[in-house]
Amino acid sequence: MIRYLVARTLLSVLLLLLVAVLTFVMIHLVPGDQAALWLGPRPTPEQLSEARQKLGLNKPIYEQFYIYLDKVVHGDLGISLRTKRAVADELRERFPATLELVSGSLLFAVSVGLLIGYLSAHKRGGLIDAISRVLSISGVSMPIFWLALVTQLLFSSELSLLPLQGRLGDEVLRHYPLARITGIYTIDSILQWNWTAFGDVISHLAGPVFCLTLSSTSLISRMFRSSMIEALEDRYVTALQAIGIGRRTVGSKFALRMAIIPTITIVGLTYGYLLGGSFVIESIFDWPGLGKFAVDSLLAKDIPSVLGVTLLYASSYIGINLVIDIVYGLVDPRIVRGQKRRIYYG
Amino acid sequence: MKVGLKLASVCLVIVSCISLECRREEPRESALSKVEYVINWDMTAWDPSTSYDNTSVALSNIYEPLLWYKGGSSKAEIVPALAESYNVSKDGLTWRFQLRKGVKFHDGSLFRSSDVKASVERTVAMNQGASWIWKPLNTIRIIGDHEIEFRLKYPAPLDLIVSSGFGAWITCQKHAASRNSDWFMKGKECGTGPYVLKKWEPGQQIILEYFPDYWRGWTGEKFKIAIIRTVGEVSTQIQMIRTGQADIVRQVPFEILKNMEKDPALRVVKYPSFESVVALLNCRKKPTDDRNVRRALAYAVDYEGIISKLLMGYGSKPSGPVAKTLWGSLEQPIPFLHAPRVADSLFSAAKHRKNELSLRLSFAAGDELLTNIALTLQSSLRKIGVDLDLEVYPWSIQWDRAKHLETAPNIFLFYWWPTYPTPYEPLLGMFHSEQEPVYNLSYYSNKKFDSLIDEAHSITGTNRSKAAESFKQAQLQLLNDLPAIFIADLERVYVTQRRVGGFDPNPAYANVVFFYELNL
Repeated sequence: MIRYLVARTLLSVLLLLLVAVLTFVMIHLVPGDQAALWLGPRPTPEQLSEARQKLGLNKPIYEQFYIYLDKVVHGDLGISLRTKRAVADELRERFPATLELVSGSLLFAVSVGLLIGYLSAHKRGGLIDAISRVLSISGVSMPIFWLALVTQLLFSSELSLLPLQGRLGDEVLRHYPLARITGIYTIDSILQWNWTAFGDVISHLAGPVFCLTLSSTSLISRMFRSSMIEALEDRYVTALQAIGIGRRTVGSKFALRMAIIPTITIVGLTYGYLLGGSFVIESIFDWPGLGKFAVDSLLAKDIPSVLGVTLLYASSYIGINLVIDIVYGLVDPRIVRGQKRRIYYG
Repeated sequence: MKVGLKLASVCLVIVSCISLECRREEPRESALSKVEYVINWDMTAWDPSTSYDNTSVALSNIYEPLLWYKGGSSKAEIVPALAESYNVSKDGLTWRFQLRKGVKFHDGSLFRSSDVKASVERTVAMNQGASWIWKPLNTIRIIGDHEIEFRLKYPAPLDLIVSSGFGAWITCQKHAASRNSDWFMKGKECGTGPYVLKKWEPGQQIILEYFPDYWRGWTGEKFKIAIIRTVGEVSTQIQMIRTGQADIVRQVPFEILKNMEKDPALRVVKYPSFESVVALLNCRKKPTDDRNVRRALAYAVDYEGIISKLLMGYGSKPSGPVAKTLWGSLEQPIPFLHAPRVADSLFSAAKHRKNELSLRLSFAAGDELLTNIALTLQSSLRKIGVDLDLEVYPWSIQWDRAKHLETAPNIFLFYWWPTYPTPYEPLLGMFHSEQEPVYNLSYYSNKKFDSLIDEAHSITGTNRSKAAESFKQAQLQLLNDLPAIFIADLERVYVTQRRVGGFDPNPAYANVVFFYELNL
């Protein structure tokens, strides 16, 4: 297992390096004057020349990349040309917001998706299965931006149940301030026993999570339903039932474990989908995460910010897939040993 | 599974309860004592010396300059701010300001002339943002605790410069000593303005709280709390103003504004801005190097159509490069009408055969008005057999390509607004000869024009009416040479709740809402 983990980690580092090189080269191919971005709307030629010198833009690209990489290794991601703040600070402030949104959505999608999938498989052809099928198809079919706008109109403007946008209300900010511990407000409010803030955070989180997660929940539930049905129809299930083990026990203890493996793969992919979807959701709900920051930085050709965001996204995607690989190994040790999965019942 | 179902139900009930509980909670102060302004950009540039973007919306309420330029509905004039009065020498080189006494900074320290000296010298030394406005500055001499003298290298309108919305804010000496932005960029400030920066949530909102020791005092029904909220989506902004969650919004599309004008709960406040839409015509690139082609283009633009249909009446035909609301502008609208036949004959008179004409126009992506203007022009030209290729880029790329003659388009469509209220800035920026183009993207060069505006600028501080005449002559020269088409002067529009009174936007400080001036 350790050798497996070391190999995976080394591969991840190589992958990150490749991502950094590709992003650096691609963004430098796009025209645009970084010095002008640093200086603002109407720089003078003297200001431009001084800024180019200061930012090291007169150096060859390979030298700029080497300097950048050297700084990254030492934990310095540079200064954002657009916001004039350290990119590391920007990421530190914004990443917890995206992490909270994406992790909350993932948690919701996995728990609700598995629950619906399990119930649909057990009550195959029944009412629950039919309802879940309709909901799943609807969930996958609805464009995320449309769903977000309708959610705002319905739950915020018409029913006044949820806030329209943002992450925290100004009343809470002023009267029940939340000290920043992790930057994930749900956790911070619990740690500070600040239940007013907690309620406000949850109500702000509900709309974006619902919109971001609907499609993934549908996908996971349908995937898990199929895997579960396949597992329940396998011959070992018949054998277990023949020796007197109840159908429910077989389902929850044996078939569930077999059905969960393909679903884990989907969870990994879902994480990537949620990260991508967060760009849209963050823009519509004004969620102060990395998505909007990334789009603005890319449009402005703010190279240090774009590289910082890309590296962070790539690291988190690689990280979650590493975790999934480990979970694979724990659920089915044959995968780590490189054995074929269906060896016992081929 | 039953346990799972129960758990899910309990979770749903808890979330609903918390949500409802939050809504039931009574705010600690009346909602009437706060005002909320919704914008669609993030504010990050907190350094008063280098900030050169829309963070000015907040900075204008936190800091003050020596003088304000008063525009809006009243007659344009310069009014005292931190300086009570000023005088200028006959040669326009020495400016002496008498400063206000008893003014406090937000940290409690008293305002003195040393703060002015330190603030301006810091802006000059940092050489970023709008620091170029201080280019004429030679030395600053402290005469007394509340008197200061500026010596200039050449005559310049220092009264207008010190009233700039960028690069002219006065901060306390203690923080002006540092030549880096670190302290300010943490969302800290040391201004003398009516509001203190209470809380900054990047990408979400800033909360400004009234400064009890503000020198103008707090009498009458003024807002003690001002919230500036960042909301990216226009649809969300509209919902917020309609449901009363916002008090002031600015980004409402023109077609929706017409409906909002009928809403009794809302007030649509429009004002003529200093901003205009300009299409720079490349004078060194074929075929727009031919004056006949440039004139043909000027006659191909459907000015009235753009103003009535695209701007829905929230704009007017310009008189030249200087917006009509700014001093020194021409009185009459530009002498061009939408005349396709004239355009057609001028294209024919040009040295090029019409079917060989290939024109390129670039504009910034994501701007609906510029997109529609570009499409309108393309359609007008197509009717007379001229092809116009549209190139859409993010602003930084559009600008960068235009700065290099080989990649520059024939027509560069964009907005212009002055950093401080002088005709010199648009004329200098867009049309003064440059060796390497920065904003003179028409590549126009005319020594007579250059000397006219340079001379006018040098007497602006001492003889403004004579300066205005020279600026007008310079503009007539431009209308003859046509290095640009002046498409429209823009009106800017805000939508406010009716309960918000006293709102009079000042075109010299674009997008700024001066919360202190508002009342219930």
